[in-house]
Amino acid sequence: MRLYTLFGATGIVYLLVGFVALRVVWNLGEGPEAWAAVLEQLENPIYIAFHALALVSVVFVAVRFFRLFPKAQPAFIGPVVPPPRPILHAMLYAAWIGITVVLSAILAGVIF
Amino acid sequence: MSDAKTMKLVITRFDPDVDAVPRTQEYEIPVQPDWKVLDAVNFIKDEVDGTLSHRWSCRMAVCGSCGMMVNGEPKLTCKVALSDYGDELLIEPLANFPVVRDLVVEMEGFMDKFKSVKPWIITAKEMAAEEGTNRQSPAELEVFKQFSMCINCMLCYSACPVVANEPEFLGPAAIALGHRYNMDSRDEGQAERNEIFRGEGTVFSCSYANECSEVCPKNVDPAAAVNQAKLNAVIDWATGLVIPRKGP
Amino acid sequence: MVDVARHDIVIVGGGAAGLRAAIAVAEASPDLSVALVSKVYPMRCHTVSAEGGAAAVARADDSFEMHGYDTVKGSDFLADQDVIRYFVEEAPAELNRLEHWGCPWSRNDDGSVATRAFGGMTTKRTWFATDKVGFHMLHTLFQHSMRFDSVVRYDEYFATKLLVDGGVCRGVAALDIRTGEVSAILGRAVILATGGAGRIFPFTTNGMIKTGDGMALAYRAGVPLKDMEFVQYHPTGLPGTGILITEATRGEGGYLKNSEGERFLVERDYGVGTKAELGPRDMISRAIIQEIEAGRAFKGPYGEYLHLDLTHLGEELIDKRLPFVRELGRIYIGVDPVYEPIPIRPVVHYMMGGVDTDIDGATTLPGLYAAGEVACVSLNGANRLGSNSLTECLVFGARAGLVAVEFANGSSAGNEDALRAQADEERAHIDALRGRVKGGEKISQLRREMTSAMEDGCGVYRHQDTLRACVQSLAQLRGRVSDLRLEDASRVFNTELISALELINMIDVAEAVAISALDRKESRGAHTCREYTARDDQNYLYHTLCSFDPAGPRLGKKDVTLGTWEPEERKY
Ligand SMILES: Cc1cc2nc3c(=O)[nH]c(=O)nc-3n(C[C@H](O)[C@H](O)[C@H](O)COP(=O)(O)OP(=O)(O)OC[C@H]3O[C@@H](n4cnc5c(N)ncnc54)[C@H](O)[C@@H]3O)c2cc1C
Ligand code: FES
Repeated sequence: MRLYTLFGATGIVYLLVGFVALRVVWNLGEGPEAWAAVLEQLENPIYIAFHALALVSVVFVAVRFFRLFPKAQPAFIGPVVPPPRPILHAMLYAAWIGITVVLSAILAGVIF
Repeated sequence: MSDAKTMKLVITRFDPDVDAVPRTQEYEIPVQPDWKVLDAVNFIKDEVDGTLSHRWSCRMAVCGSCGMMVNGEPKLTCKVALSDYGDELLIEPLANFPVVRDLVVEMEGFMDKFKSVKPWIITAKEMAAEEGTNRQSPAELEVFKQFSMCINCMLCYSACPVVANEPEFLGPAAIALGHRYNMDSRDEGQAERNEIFRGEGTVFSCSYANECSEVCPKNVDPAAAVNQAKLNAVIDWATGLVIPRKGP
Repeated sequence: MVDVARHDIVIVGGGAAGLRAAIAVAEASPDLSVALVSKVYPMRCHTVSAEGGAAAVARADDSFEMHGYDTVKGSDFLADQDVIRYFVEEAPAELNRLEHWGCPWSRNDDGSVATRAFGGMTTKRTWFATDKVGFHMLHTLFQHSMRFDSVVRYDEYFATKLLVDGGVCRGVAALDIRTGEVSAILGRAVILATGGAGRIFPFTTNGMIKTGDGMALAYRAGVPLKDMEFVQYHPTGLPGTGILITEATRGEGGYLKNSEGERFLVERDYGVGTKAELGPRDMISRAIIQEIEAGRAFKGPYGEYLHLDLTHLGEELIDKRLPFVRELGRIYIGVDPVYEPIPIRPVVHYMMGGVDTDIDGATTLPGLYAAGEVACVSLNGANRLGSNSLTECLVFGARAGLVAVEFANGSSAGNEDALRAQADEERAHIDALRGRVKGGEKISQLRREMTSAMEDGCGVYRHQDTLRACVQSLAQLRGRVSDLRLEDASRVFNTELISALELINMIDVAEAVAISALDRKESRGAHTCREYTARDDQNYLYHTLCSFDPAGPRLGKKDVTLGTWEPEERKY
């Protein structure tokens, strides 16, 4: 198994995540009981394992992307010189962590 | 050197005048602890079976002749140690190339791709030899230096999943070479080469699997070159050549 | 009947010299068709392995006079001085051209080309592109040559014979390795640029393809080989493989040390004076052998060795200037030169001798030219200075190309039928060799015997009796090689057949080396006799010529061109 095949294979995980999300939204439209039922279902160990897999996939894709993205920047783009690769790396990780923190805060109800 | 042990090599054999399809042949040979894979193949050629054909010359990882698949991976056989492997070794011709004979692959397609990127300095006005040299700062040199280190061993073509599906794909080494000239401060041929790079089966066929860079024995990082070339080709198209080229 | 391909100029060899000649022809006369015949794809040829640099005057503190004097002194006054003068004056323009064609020369901070110190050179005049100079020069030349449509490549064609009609060389018979077919590649002039012959020795920096083919081709066509006794031993090869560790390591400040940790070139008088590690190669190789004989060496599985110590240079400089040396050390001897000294011993590196040519690259056979390591234009005399030879390939490759154009313009195509008939004969000869299972001699066995005879007879130090024994073994091998056994009867990519042809060539070249060496009873440059330790200008200030004769090689003499620098004692 090569890294790029693994990278491609994570697509299946996202497809399944999409189905799960659709189902959850659908249930929300069906009323409070359906919503409560689907939330309960999500606590099933199989779902939890699946979501763990989804998290690992996302992290893997992000890390791989962050590794490959900086070197795809030419040394200069017209008159613009992109920052050195280590700084680009650091910027990508900082952005990732920043967005994760903000989203978690929103979900936890700390902001908005 | 003493403490010889023996090893089994399973080697692909193919003579187009005799064989309809490639076959394999096994050789049990004594090997030395400090041998490279190439030394073992040479030993078979010299002492065991004179009919085995393969290419090699420099035995110092710089001429690019001796690429083969070793246990399914493209390798420069004069660079990899035999001791990195167990008691049995599978040696095949480089993948994704037509086979001429035994471990010898067809290079003509590669040579055509190589030439198609115009791998030479293009300038409006050529300098006379007596005028001295161009000035090029160490920083300007650094911009393309890495991409000029390719020894044309073609391992990257064997590793590339796009080449496997689409043999006409211009491929890592050729694109890296074109990009090397595009990034050279002495060159003015970017417009011509970007035109080529925007064509069918070139940079945009690359899915950035990065396999070429994983197998490159010279750290050229062709995947970086190909993907930088994508952005350059797009910018070049979008700006209609109006942004002045400027280096660091 | 064999196929015939018609061109105007046929160049055999796709290394620095052959490519430079092809470009010179293509630029000067775009209407002339050039055949570039090479037994390997051009980027595979052995110029690719050159590491250290190419010499040409570049700095304000340098001059043609200085470069010339260093070269003639390095040659132990056996070089032709008109050749040296032409060489040093043309050298800068040639390296400039390479810069214009894209060679990634290393740079000074102000953007000018950087130069480094090299053995036997008084000042920094060796241009470099880190420590992969040959690689970058070759790829630059090859890629640049692709823009000329008049250059038609015959890649993986093995030239086996010069085709001569009416006393003029008009092409070659060549074996297409791919198909096994022999064809006649004809032109109105032929340039040999087939490189050296290091593989006649067992322990050499040269790649597998350096088998002296061009020397043997010319020799058998009646052209003498000149100064063949002068074989350069490079002081620093890796024990076992013979892989070169460039002199640039010492140019950048590396030390040679014996097993007692002494810088013996400084501690003892080996004639290199204050140059120490930057003395010329012949002297340093001799010094190393003397250290070994005095018991001040390390013992290893591949013979005794000394140390090349770079540890004081620091990782930053090594990575910036000598990255390939670091890579080679790690992969091929398991030593990281940043932290440990590199084991080294003298190794056969370069043939000062070769096909006898004049300053134009013209041989004694009209229509036949030679340039690069295959040729002996007499720039290097008895000992080449490091980094002169890459430049030599350019300067004399270009000149041979231009002179060949002139010759071709005034010459006819020759009698095609006669030329084809010779190629037919050659085909029959090759067909008889291919798959010759009735033979009794194994290729690898004869090769081993040849190389060990050469090592015994033609080492750094030469004894009259071992030299005589070497000449005898080679004469014997010349007989035995006609009874080779070949197992492979197939036509497509038959590399066993190629090995056989190369072996036959090597034995001829080896014999010329040994016989020439036996005849020179003095010590000069790289040719050092135990019995005759001094240079003898009275009796031996001449070039040795060695000519082919079915009965055995014949020797002759040729005058050395003097005129600018008087021969003097060679002391640094
Ligand atoms: C390891 C090493 C390092 C060196 N470093 C330096 C250095 O730093 N500086 C320096 O100045 N010099 C150096 N030299 C010497 C220098 O590299 C060579 O002398 C020079 O490259 C020779 O070039 P060439 O064009 O004559 O031959 P090559 O590059 O050897 O090319 C020979 C060509 O002839 C072809 N050929 C040969 N036989 C046949 C045949 N029968 N049929 C068809 N084609 C044939 C081959 O295919 C090849 O294309 C070094 C040499 C070695 C071995
Ligand atoms: S033999 Fe030259 S790269 Fe391996």
